[in-house]
Amino acid sequence: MKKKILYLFLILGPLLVVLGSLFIGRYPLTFADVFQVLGYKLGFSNIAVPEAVHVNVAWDIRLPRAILGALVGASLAASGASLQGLFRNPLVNSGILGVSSGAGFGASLAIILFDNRTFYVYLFAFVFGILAVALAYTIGLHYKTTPTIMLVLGGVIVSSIFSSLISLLKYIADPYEELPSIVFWLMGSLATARFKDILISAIPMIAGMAGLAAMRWRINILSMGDDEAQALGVNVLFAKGLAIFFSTLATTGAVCVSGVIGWVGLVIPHIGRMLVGNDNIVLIPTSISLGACYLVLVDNLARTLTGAEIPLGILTSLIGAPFFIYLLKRTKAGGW
Amino acid sequence: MQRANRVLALALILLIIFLLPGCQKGPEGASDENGAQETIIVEDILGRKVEVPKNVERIAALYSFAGYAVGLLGRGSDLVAVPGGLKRDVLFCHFFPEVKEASVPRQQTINIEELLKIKPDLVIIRGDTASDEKEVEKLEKAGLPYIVVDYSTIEEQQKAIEIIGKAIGREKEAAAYNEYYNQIIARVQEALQDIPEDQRVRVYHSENQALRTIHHSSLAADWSRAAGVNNVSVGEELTLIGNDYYTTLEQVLIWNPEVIIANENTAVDLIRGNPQWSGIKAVQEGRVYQLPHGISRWGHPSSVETPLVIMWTAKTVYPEVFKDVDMEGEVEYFYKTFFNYQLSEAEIKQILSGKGLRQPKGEN
Amino acid sequence: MALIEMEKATFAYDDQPVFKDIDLQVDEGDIFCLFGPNGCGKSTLIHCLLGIARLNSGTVRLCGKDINKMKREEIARVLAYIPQLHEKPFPFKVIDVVLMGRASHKGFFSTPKASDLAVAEEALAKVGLLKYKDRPYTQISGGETQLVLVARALAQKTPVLVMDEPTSHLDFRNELKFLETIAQLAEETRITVIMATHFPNHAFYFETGNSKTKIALMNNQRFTVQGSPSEVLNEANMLQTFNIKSAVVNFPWESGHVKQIVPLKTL
Repeated sequence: MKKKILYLFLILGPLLVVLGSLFIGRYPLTFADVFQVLGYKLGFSNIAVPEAVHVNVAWDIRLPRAILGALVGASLAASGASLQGLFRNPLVNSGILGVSSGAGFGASLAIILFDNRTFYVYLFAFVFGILAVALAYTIGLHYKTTPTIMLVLGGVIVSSIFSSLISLLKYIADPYEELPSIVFWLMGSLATARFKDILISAIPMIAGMAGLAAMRWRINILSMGDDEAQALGVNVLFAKGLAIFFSTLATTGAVCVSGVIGWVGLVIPHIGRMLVGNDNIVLIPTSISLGACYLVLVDNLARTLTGAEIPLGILTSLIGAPFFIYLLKRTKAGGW
Repeated sequence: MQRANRVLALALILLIIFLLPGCQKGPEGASDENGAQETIIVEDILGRKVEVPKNVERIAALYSFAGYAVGLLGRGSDLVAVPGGLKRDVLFCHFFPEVKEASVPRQQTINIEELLKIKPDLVIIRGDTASDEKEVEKLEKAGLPYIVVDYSTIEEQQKAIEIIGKAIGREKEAAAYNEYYNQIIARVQEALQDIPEDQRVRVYHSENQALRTIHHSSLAADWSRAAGVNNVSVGEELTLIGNDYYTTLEQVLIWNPEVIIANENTAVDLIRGNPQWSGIKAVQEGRVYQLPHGISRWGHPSSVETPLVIMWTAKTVYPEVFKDVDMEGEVEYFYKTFFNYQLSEAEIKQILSGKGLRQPKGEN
Repeated sequence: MALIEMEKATFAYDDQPVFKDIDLQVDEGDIFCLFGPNGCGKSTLIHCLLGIARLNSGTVRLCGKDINKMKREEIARVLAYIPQLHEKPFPFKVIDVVLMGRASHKGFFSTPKASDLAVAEEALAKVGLLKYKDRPYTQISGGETQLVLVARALAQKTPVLVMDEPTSHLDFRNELKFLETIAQLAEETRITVIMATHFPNHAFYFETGNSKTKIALMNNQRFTVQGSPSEVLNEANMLQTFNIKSAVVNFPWESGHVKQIVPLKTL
């Protein structure tokens, strides 16, 4: 019963936040305007045709952006929580295996090779994000299992390789055309979200999240360590590989449309741990829901705090980093 | 070991001392035996008085504007160093095939060895490089004469042309260009004098990306004023990322511009085709235009085709007022006068379409 | 048919042999103690039994089946494992830890159901810790943690418990409490126990209550002696294995006798 109420909140939360963000923004729209657009678009016949600009703002700009924000936040948080379990370390984030730097490299490469055409940027970011993790995993593949330390090492190596390659690309990029696009992409943003982008990126994000949610109990068991997990009847190599695959799918799907948005994958699972505890059976759905709410809320701040827009990546780090210090203090003081 | 090092260092210094003046002299042939090469003094925008050889033979332009300007003033064939982007400008390379072979000694920073290798006798740099001590030090140590040009207004751009003109011995051409420039501004101003400031058409100017736009302290802000339009992003709050300014979709909707101009056809396609932009007046009325592209993107900060973009924008935004202006004729005249090149009708059309004159990456 | 059989088991890390040609047989209801000096390969042998490590040659058979042909969950339905030292990465609730014992009975993408919860609670009750069910297991003592791991093993519903020096980090009282719990379980449920230890008196302790207690002395990569504790644990074997002088003492307690071996002097 208690669980059912929790799950109800977890589902309602993101829906309300997404709905709420339709009312927030620079363009002056009244509540009535937004409801009129919503009613009209949802096919209620007795509603007068709203002004085109209102439809534009509420339906074409704010809604896809909020939905994408929710998906991206949820994906990053889900994969962060899962990887924390997998690596048996609560300070791990979704980028530990080099996804972000791999995707960043892919996007930069596409910006230079294909004049910043969106489709190629997504494709390359996605492919190289996956490639980076595959590389880190291969480096970590040691003996018959994948010891955590080797995986982390693999991630560090791959991240640093791709970071250097990004620097190299920035160096050879045309300073007036390509470099700004690369910098913009690396900064992370939902500003250009369209329904089309959602359609492309939702598939890996949802597939990844669904996979992680489905195997969330196995992640509990994997966090007991390789030997114990095997003795409990889990094929560790397979389960770890699958968990990494799903989390990579989710993270890469997110990163390829939104750029690098830091800290969500670290901070959100922690808030989840404080709220519902460490059992991944509850924690992963909670992280998904909290991640969705968090990123949409922060994005709402990003687009309304000032007349211009604060890049989302900057804001998530600004909020995330101090929170992290707080977490470290708590950990030291006895942990949660 | 130490001594060996010292000897080596001494040898190197001597070598440099002897070689450098030699290089500079080299291309001039048998100028004179007593080493006194004829020089002139050029004052750059920082007020530095730079001693430059009177007959500059090998010009290194480290920024696009400098390259275009040298070409405009008729010495494009003497460019030995250019920024990489210039090699992708089809028309510019058509005018000056030498550019294709020119060296690219600067990416994000100057590669001084590469620059020394090509032995320029004049280097042209921009303000931000000049304010970077390390970069300046490289040039100073190498003993390369360099001048600094930069601008963010029409007046300053004309001044920059004047400085470059003096440095490369094309003062007359520079003066002619500036005169033409001012004539265009005067023509536009005269034609629009009856339209009060607050009734001028609101224009949104997209630069490279749909939401990247114009900051008030840029040349584009100044030339759009000269073209008699009300550039919506000028004076507004914008987001600075890297060196560029960005706005947001909702903000564009609030501005609700009557005309949109963009210099990149992917941006034009996006603005015309994306439902998110469909509520904007300019889109609804089909007034989204692609800026033309000649040797460079018209209206770009580094472009020397500023007079043309002023006329084009004025005519595009106020077709009635400028119905007598023959844009094709203006284009033909400009490239004939300053580049001594007779454009074909097809070439003129292509320039005005803004398409296909920038080579995509990877094909050069 | 023996429950667990090892035949000519040989294991080496690269070129470093750990043990050679070991034969071992454990029958239902046995308490099998694996005894030997530090580093003699007890843990590795346990890992090979569990299929976590693989023999270089020889076979392990569980219920007559070659372990190499068994899936992980099949092995986990025969053997439940209680490690020597358990690191606690997250403050899971005690009951969540015990529930993990159900993994081998559930599908890969499943979560535990009410029936699993009942099994877990029953197991927790057996070790007397049901009252701690909702506590973070980071906030219970080392002794209680070992018992929680026993409960997890019980929830696994296997015929065999495999333990690797399970008391090595426990204090006097907790050690005894642990042994009592295991002895009681063995008596009540006829569960088979395999336990690596370096305390010979553990074997004597079990022998007092269970006649099917066996011990194997492991040294120099082999089993030197196998038999009942009373047969194996004598002064001569201690001298040979540990190079120490020792004495077996026998004293009356309650209705019977208690046997202990007391180390006296290194040689």
